[in-house]
Amino acid sequence: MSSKLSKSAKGELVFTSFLFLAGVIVIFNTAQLELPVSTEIVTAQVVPYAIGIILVVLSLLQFIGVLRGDLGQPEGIEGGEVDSKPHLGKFFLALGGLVQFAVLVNFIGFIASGTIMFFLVALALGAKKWWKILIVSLVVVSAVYVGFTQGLQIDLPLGINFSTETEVEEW
Amino acid sequence: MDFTPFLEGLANSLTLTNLLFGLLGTILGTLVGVLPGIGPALAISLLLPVTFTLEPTSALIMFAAIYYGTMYGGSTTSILLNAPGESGSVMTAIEGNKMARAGRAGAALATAAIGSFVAGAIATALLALGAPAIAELGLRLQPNDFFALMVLAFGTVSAVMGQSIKRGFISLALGLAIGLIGMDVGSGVQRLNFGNQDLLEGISSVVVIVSVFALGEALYVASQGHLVSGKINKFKGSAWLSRDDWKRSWKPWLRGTAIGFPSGVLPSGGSELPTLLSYSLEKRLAKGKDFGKGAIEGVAGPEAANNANAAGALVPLLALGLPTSATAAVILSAFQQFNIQPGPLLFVNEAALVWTLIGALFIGNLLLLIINLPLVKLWVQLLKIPQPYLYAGILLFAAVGSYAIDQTITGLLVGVSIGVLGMLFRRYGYPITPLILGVILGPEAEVQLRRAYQISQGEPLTLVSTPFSVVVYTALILAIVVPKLWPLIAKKRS
Repeated sequence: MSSKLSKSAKGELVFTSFLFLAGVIVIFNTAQLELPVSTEIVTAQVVPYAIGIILVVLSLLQFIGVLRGDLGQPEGIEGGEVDSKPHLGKFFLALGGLVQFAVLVNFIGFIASGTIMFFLVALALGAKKWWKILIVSLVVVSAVYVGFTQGLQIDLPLGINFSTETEVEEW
Repeated sequence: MDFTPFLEGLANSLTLTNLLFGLLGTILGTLVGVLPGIGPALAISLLLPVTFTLEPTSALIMFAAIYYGTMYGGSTTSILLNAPGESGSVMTAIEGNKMARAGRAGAALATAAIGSFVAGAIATALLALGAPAIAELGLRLQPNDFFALMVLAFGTVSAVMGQSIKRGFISLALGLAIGLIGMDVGSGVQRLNFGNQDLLEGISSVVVIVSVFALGEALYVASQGHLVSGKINKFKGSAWLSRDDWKRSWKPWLRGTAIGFPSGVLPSGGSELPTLLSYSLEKRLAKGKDFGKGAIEGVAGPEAANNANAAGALVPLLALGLPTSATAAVILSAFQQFNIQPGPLLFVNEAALVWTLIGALFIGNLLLLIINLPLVKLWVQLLKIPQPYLYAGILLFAAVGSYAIDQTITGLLVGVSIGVLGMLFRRYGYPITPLILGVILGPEAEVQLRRAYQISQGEPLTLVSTPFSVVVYTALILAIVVPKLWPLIAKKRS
């Protein structure tokens, strides 16, 4: 049967399997809970069990549906077009930009990690000329940093080196 | 009826400081709403950090202005770029873009703006009249009634949206599961955090919304398609209406309001349906005149319906704490950030605040009309920003918002994971609103369920033991079954 399935159907089956797995994890985690002694009638396990079971049953039905040809149609792109083939390279470029921001922002600071993220995402989405993207990234991220930290008093990290210097000065 | 609280609220929102916040919110809201790729829900989420450091009244006033500003901005993109920022603007784009191509962009923008103002003003008045009455009814509701209302919201939104009911309910279940993460308030048990202390307080709904919309959309575009620089329709002269345009617009504005407001109050899944109904009605009444070539009625009606729907959604939100659309769900989380819980008690405990908010909605709506019509040409310039930079900028704002809420690596990585989930939802036709509703409303629904059984001492049928809950569940069953059976009945008849 698998040889007859299109790539899109296979992808959707993998996604549906992930949803099924998410349901299993919810049920498994709920079963592991150690509840304190209480007079509660609906305990902390009831709702998670119900949600886990619903997720497992529905994703199973959906899995069967996909096998029978009920494939999900991709959403349209506002201001763009959906292509017939996926672009994994561009996807990982954008994802890499986001992951590095999440992991590095507290270490290298908002301006550096934000600039890398802006640069990689703009590149992945089709911006041309790397030097131009780099300049725009740096200017926009710096402006956002100043606007939020000075204007709105929202604390964004400047980077580990600067904070170390401040500590030494104070000491 | 006693109008004193409303007048006091209006006076509060008219102080110089509050007017300035209203003005700033209007400008920011329109600015973000104009940008293609951003609907009101995402626009509001992105601007949430701007209100973090303000005191609640100023923040909510600014927020009300942002809310109407984003709604207004969406129509500009639809008309000038043929790129509706959200489902509610799709109908506006059909005739509005054709009007713009025929050199009538000014009239299309004006009828959209004035129609939005008229609908917003009427709907806010209805909100002021209706919400306290519903809140009074809400005070009599018991936990099982509240649970029934939440189930109604879950059921209708999941059934109406998306390519199939199954996909809608899977999206909801996943949202409910995400809402479970963290410490259970009732028992102190840690659920689904796998020992990670960073997740003890759960995942912030703002992080979920921003990630699933902004990150999800950017990753989806990168992986599945490409951006095309859209052709912006030329706009000459001023945004105003001729005498004939006024004559053709005022009735559609009122009809659109009449359709939009009730559908906002009921959990019917957002503004898609009322704008479609308004467009169809106007087309039928015009007997095809100009429709398909740029009929002003086709812009006036749906725009009014869209705005009235948005204001209507505030009724169940403020009076019952029940969001009926993604945008309303975002507003709920904005209230929660100030430890304010919308619901029947809001009108008792925070009367001054809620009436100031309603007053601010009036003022924000008026400011929008006064400021934006002359500034349309300035907003148009925003549409010239190259789209890759625009998306990167949106992600930057999303990153600031997420970081301001949760500064841990775990929190940010969870946001990225939810972004990937948002991408996959778009790829495989799963609706996003049920997921958001599940995350935001799920924990509250669980509290009400547990309370209901605790009060009834475990009576098995307690969930259907009040007339109100029976009516609500019957309405839910009808809302799901009738649309499925209707085509079969119609087929049999014909």
